[in-house]
Amino acid sequence: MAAKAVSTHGERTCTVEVAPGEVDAGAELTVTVRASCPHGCDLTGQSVSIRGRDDTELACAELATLEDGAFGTALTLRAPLKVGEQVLRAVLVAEEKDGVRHDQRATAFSFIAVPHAANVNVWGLPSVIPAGERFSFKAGIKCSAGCKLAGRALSITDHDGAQVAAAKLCDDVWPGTSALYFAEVEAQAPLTPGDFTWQVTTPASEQGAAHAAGSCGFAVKVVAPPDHEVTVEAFDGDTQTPIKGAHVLLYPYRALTDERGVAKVKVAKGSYTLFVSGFNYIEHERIIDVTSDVTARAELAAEPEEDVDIR
Amino acid sequence: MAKKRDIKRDKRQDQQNSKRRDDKALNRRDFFRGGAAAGVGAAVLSTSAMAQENGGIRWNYEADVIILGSGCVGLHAAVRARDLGASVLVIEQNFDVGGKLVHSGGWTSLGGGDPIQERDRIGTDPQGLGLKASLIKPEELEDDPDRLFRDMTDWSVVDATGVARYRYNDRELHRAWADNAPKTRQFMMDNYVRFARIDGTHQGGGMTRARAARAMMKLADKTDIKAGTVSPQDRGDPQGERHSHFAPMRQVPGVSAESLGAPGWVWGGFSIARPMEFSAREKGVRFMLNRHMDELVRERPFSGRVIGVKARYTPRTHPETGARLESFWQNGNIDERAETVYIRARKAVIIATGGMQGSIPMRMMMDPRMCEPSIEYGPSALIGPMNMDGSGISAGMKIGACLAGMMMNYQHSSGSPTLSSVLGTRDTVGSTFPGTPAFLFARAKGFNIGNAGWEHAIAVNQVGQRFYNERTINNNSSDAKYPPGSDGTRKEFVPLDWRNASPQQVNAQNRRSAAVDAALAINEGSRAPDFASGPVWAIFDAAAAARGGWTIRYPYIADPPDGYFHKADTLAELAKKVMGHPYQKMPLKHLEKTVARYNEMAGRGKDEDFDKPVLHRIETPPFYAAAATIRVNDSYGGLRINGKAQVLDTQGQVIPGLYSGGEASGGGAQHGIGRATVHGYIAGTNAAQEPMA
Repeated sequence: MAAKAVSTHGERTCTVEVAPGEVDAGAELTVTVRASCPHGCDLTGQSVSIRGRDDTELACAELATLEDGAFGTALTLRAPLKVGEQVLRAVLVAEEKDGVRHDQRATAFSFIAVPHAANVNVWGLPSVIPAGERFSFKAGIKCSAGCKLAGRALSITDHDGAQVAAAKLCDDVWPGTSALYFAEVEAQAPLTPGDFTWQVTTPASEQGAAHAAGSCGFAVKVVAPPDHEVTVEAFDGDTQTPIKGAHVLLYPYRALTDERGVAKVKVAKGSYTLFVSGFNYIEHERIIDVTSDVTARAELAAEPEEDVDIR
Repeated sequence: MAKKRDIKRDKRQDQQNSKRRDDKALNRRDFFRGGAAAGVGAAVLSTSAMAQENGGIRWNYEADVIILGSGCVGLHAAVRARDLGASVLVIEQNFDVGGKLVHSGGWTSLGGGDPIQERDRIGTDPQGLGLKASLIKPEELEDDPDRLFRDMTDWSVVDATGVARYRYNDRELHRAWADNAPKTRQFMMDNYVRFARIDGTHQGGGMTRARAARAMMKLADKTDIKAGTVSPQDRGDPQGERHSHFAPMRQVPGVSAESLGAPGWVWGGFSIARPMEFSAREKGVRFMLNRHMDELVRERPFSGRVIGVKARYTPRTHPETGARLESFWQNGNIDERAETVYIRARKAVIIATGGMQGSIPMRMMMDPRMCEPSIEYGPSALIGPMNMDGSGISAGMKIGACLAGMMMNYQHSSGSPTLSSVLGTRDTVGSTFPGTPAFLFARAKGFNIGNAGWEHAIAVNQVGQRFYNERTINNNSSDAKYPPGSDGTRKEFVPLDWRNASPQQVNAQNRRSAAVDAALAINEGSRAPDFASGPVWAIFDAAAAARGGWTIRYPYIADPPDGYFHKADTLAELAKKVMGHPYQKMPLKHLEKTVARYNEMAGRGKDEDFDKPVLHRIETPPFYAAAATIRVNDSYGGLRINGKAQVLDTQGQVIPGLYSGGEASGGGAQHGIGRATVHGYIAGTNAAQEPMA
């Protein structure tokens, strides 16, 4: 039987897109390969191989028709744990079919593997802290790749850069989050009143995938010891029933009312604007002078229902 | 020539048997097998079809009166025209009857000494509804059409921006409206609609008398329209987070059966829409659902009678199963599935298609702010994407109709874009629970944080920047209405008295904020060609959600997610996640910086950017972004009509055989069901009395 005549269409063109161009070490990235033949051949089903430096195959796939009409395929790769630029090749494997031969075509592409970023956050800090008192708050870190961070160290430094506390992240993530690891932190307030900015930092780590250092500043408001107690009673102006959970603000002091509608706030003597606000109520605002222990009754009017004109 | 189908039949015929209907369906299919020829004819005629003599059109159906839309105007016009002996065919683009009416609150403001005013003035309960005592003093229920007309045109009533609210109501229209309001109330009652005690007046319904009552049905074992009862199944159970196909609306907050003097009753737009629909079907009105009117057919392009319509098949399907959605009741439906049909009107066509708030180009004719794609027309999810698309108005314009009152939208609170405190849903008006087909499209009910809730959240634009004092975000212009003194109007109100409109009085009323204007401003992310400002996001943290007890779960937010609500461990992640929203084209670039500054100002106790009085740090994970949809509910400009609801052309001449009303018409700032019911009644009355074409 006579051999079939084979015509060679030479090299196909090949373009490669990588997303993202900078990827967390060890995280996934997408490589989209598009190919075309100068003779307009249908390349569907032809093979693409992604290869490393030593020509090891990291992934392979068959060309299909992409949404934009081009022949191509999207492959998912995992970046190496090692940080730095990675150069790979997309190889259109030589194919011969129906008397047409397409030669092999290799196209180099690169991406950069970067250390995982640490997003540091602080919450649960008291709105004011009496000078010299101990206080607690929460600090958490979310790794950009969602890594488990249990046991990772945190350091808290004060406004002068001195370390004032240290902690390690718990084994559990913070409720409601997917991978935010946190620690309860205790510290002592400065001895003098004032507004201070402290820092929480976490060092870089090379264990497993590379993790970058991270930090976050947070405000510490220190006040003089209180002089008097203000008792705020929040009531519904119409029904005369107590409002639970109303927010009381005598800046910088804050509190929430209890089931009896009562909040007790210890403040320094002085003049304050009292704001009492509750969900579905119009806020109550008035000036009060605190020269002794005092009780303030706030009657709140219900806010009108939102008028959506479907009535 | 194709065989014409006359749908006129009396009630007895309708009730004969279903076999006959089946036979007709077969005939219809036979008809449309040959209908290709009709299609060709349609294609030829559809451009300036209407420029040709009508002899070229092969009509597929005909009736005396064709009504476009089955909402408030359409249902009332249909029953009225049928009562007067006309055969009536209602064309509806949605799969069910009721339009916006069935999703409304059912608060019907009429007056002029209507039967319910009289009932409550005397304090009786002639229908034996079990009503408690009247809620309004007798002297504030004494009314007559002259007083009503005077109220509806009182120049001295101003809104919060100083614009005369009633002065620019077209006098001819509102004289006719006032004269027909009492008759319309009786007409509704004659068609199984029951009303609670009058408890006020709806916006635009006048200052001096109480005129609005809620339509209602009594909870009972079974639904019986004639007896006025609705079963728990058909009513739905808002406390159990379930609505129903029969009553696809939310409970109006702040209103109780007790407060309406009607213990044991439930209320809402379904209490009008379903009884009127039931009555229409009972009387022989026919419905062709799933069909959108695309063109009106007039004898000549800009002259002669309107003689019919061209309409397209527009079924809606279940998003998961692909099955066609069906109406609650089917008797009287014509299940026509041909792509295009021509329907001849022997007497008249009534445009009851509603407003234009669903069409960006058209709504921009009345309000330039509505260019924003992200402004959603609230019930669009409920009534379909073609609802309120302005098609009735544009079809009228194409044959020479004139428009009227296009400025009314700009000044009207319900016609102006407003920022909602119902978060996490595109549908901030319908606010439905699962159980109604509408929920398949709304996807989430949303959770309402109220005005006060904004203390605990910030509002940011599409690039993550704050734009206004959130605490005033919902301050809208007031709605001047009875009783005087509500919404800031003058308590000592005297009709036609200049002091009602004095600068001091206007200033006292003015509480409108510019939050929407700020939200809609061009920002860093606005790009050509439309320079869209993008959606608005409420950003808050877990601590705020806990303080407010906000119900952040299905069905208040969508599951699976629909892009209107997002949660993330960090603000950086949240800033990217919002891209799932259909109108969010970029990450919230400045969000982290915005929150950092906000938290810093919260620590200092002063909002140096927008003067918000109380700030709470946004710091406790997880973090949330909930869409705060800018919505527009109503439309006040439209086809110019006269007191008979006849559409006028640009020369002020009547377009013979064409009627309109409600939101498809212009000429007034009156709101709601009261306006539309009477328009329907007037249009139905006059259309039925047109000579046969």
